[in-house]
Amino acid sequence: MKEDSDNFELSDEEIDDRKHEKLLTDVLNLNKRQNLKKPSRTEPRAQISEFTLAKSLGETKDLVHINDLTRLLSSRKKYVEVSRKVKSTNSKSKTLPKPLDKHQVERIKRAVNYEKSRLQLDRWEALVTSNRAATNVSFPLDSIEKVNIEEKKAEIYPSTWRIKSDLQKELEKLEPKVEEYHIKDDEKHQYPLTLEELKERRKESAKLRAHQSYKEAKARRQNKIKSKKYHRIQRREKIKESLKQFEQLQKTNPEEALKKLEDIEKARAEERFSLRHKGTGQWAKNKQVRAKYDKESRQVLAQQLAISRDLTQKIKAVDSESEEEAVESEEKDRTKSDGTNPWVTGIKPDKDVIDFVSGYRKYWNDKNKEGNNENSVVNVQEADEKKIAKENNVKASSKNSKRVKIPNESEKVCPNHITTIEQNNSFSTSEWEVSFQNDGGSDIEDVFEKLEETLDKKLKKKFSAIEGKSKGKAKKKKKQKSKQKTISNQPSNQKIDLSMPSKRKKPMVDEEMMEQPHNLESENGDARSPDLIALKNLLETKEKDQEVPNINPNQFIQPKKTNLSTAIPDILTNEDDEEETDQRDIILEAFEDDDIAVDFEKEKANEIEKDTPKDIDLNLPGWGSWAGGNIDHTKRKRKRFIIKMPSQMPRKDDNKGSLIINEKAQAKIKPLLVSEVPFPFKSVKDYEASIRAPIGNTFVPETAFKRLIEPAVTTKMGAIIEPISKGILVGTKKF
Amino acid sequence: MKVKVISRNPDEYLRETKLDIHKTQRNYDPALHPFEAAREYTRALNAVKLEKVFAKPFIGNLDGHRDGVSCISKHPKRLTVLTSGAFDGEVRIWDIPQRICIRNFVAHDGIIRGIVYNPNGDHFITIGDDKTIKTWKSLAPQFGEEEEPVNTVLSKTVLTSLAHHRTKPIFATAGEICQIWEESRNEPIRKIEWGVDSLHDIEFNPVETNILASCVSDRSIILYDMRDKNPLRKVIMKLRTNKLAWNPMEPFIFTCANEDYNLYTFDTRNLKQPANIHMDHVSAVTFIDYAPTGREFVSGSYDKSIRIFESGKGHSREVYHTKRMQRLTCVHWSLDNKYIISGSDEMNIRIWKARASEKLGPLKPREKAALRYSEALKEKYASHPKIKRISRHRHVPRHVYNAQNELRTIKEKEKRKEANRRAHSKPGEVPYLPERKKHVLQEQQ
Repeated sequence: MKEDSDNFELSDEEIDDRKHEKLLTDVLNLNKRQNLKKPSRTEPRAQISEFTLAKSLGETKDLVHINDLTRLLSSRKKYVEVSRKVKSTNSKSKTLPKPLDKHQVERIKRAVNYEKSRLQLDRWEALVTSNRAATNVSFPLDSIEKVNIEEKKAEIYPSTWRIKSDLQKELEKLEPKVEEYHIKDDEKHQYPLTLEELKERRKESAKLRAHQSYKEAKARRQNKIKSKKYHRIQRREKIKESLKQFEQLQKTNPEEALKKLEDIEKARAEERFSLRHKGTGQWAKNKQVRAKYDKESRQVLAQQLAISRDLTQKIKAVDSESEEEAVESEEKDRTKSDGTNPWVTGIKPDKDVIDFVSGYRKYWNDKNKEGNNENSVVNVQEADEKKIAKENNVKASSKNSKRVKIPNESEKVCPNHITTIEQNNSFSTSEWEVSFQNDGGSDIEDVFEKLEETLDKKLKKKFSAIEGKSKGKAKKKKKQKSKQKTISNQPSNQKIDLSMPSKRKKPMVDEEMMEQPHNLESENGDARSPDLIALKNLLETKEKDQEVPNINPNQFIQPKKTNLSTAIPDILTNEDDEEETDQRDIILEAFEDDDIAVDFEKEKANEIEKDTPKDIDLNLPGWGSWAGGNIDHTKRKRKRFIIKMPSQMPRKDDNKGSLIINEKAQAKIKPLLVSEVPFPFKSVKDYEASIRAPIGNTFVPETAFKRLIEPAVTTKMGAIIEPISKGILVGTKKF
Repeated sequence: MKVKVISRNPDEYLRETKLDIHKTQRNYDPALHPFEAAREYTRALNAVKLEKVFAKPFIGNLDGHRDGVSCISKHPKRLTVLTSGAFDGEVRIWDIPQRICIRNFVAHDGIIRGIVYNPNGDHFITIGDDKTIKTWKSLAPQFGEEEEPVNTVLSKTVLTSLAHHRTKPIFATAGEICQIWEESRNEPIRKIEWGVDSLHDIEFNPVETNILASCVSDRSIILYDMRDKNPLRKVIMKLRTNKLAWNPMEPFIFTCANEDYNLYTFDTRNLKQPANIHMDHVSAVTFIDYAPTGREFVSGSYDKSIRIFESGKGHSREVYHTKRMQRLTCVHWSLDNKYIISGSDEMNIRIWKARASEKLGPLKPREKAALRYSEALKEKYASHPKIKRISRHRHVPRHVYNAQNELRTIKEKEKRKEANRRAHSKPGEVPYLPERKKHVLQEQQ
């Protein structure tokens, strides 16, 4: 303390002005702000460290401000304009808006970038699909490798200038000369971007930035809007949009639509139990006060209440509503209506009306049936008449008049078939003549074809209505077309298909492998006990015993002779009929006494019995008899040696009286047959055709064979397969 | 007198040189060669049986590591060279045809997390648990020289995975964040972050080389563009993705190996659901690599087996295992589409044939034609039950077999339960969800 005071006194005497001033400023600055130095950059970095940041030193005196400069400029006449410009920009400039939320900005950036890279990837789509569909591809894709091989001349050259000693020459002789080659890298010679490419690149990046900034600006604008009206409109738009989507969904994806409907319901429920539109808010209260005197406010209030009522009313789904109504009405007039027609239940018809309707329906049904019959008859008639007409060469006009009559009759009879007949009509009036004049050839077939087609169309329409799939429709149309084509081709039918069979369509198997541990089969065989094997053996032997053919003429039924519609000549029919009938008579006479039906039943019973496995009795003769005869051993003990067979599945011919189905006949071939049409094939016919066409060189010529056995992927031995290169894409830029 | 003589053009029956086969005339009238389908069926059956006879995929193994193999890298220009890293920090370079180790050294303290070659193959880069990135020369040091890295970079963050750009001297590392490095610089040229979770795998797209994908420990997959500061998109799956591979022939397709025993193939342009699900493994899948043709890929799993999938199909076409092979850490498909190289926990690197019954070495033309014919026949009759049974029958280790059974019962149980729930609730309450929609939780922008 003492020393301090001494010091103080000392300093008081010889005071340093500069130091004093510094001290003062330091003290004054103590509570104001930190004294930070302006940072100086040392090393270029991608990221700026947060520790070297400092506040801007805008208020310090040393800095030059733009105003000072302009003031200077204004003194000269030449620069007045410039100074004015600077002033105006100063006055016009606004502070930049607050940047968006960081996460929002980042999300926008990510979305923009993703879109961009997606577009980039989209360019590959066509190439990839074509590669996938290609029947055979050979790798590496661009097989010509660009390798520049150059002799190492530069290194060899100077050595030729030297004079070699004898020893060196000797040594060279001993060592074989190695030829050395450079393999030049092409990549090193790749030029950087040209000016144009650079420009284009810059342009693209600018575009991207602009895109991003648009998006940002939009987001900012939308964030800022306070107008309730705007938000209301937006909300409405959103609702509209969602409704539209919902409607679309209803058509395309009913499951999703249901989900969406639930969401909508939820939103409605939320609005219902919120207090909106209830007249409890401040605004509503004010209006209520004013409502006594003001008509307008009364109206507004009423509107509001109406909305709330609308919302709070329980909405019944359309179906449930109708159902409820139906239930109510049914309860009311259960006595009156018979309930056959659900559409009429709500109407409560009079008795007269009911009578009339039922009578009419009866009449309608009867007539319909008649009509069906008659119509078919009429069709036949038509055809017949046409035939006659063709033969007689009657003029078309008279024919027409005749023909028109008949369908008229049929029209009266059956309103159901109007459409088809109308088509017939039109056909008869217009197309008939044409065909008549042209050739008069196969008209009747044409008529039938047309008829068939119309019928087909109808059927298909119905079918498609049931399925309700547009895809299916398209296919059918195609089918129809193809059918028509074949029909049109029929006259010149005998074309031979010389094209190669479609090669790449091969069955695809995409299943799990059948994986088993190494010694499962054998182990299991051991584990499942030898007695099971013995059992199997026993069964087999028994079956073998039973399989001795026991043909008895008594159990035979004379089969009816059936006429098979085959092209193969039937040898039996070629024999003399008389002889045959004689023989048959003889046989019939011989077996006159037998009851055929009973025999058959017996046979069937036999067959069934033969097929059902029997219990195996393993009791051996002599067992339990050591004590002598007359001793019964218990049933229980005997039972122990009887192996029971499991009950079998019902037979196929169980309910088919006069039929025996041999289910074992297919047993051998069944495991060899394909049970399902494999994947890329759509019909059994296609698949069969693919199997039927041979590919071996015993059956097809060498060239075809070579093409047919070409593998899907071929690789070159020892060649490195590089990934696909961008150069393959057409019209790509270098970067 | 007139003498009739048969005169024929010798060109029709004489061969040009004695190396040619004898000329024969053949009548292809189908009436002369009956039962085509039946005969070809028998041939197909024989072919498929022979295929089983010759199916011996294991070629050999490379032993020398003193700890489990953690990573393997293929040389981009040479088929004979292979580099592998182990859990003890040792790197070994192998000569595959001779099956010997040509060079070995300890590169890092602790596990080696990744090895990659640069595009022309004269250097390779390793990363380890000591947070260093080391560049090494491919040429072995001369006699008397010490084994030293050309360049060592200290990273600020932990490094777990490494991938190299296909053409440029740029590589990417994953760890806490995704970092893009240039070979000549000591600091990353770009750091890309999304969220706080660490990444454990990163992979460059080999075709659209600016695009990267990485697997994150919050069970998501993130896509990046190397040129942008921001990532592109994120897909969150139900379980963690362990490894990811891009299809080298289809730039927008990648497949990821998942912890839930499945592999998922995604189309980058539609990440809402996988384009395909590949099942069959019975434990977490740890590694996947595409064949250079892009038609197939190979996956290694924690269930000690390697499976080969065709890229469009849901089930594997082949399973490889040996009694001594333990958990797989890495599986690679060689660049000539012929071999598969696998590294596993028990210190060995194994070499397999990609097609189990393929005959190696050059083939004579007739041999080739015969093999191709039998191949075509097998394809033609593939769906016939007997042929299908023989060609798809495999022996698997007992633990895999049992696990499969268990999984099957679990799946059946779930199915049954769902059906029951559907039967006893309001229609539409329990929707039918396709398998592909079950595994992706969310696609984040």
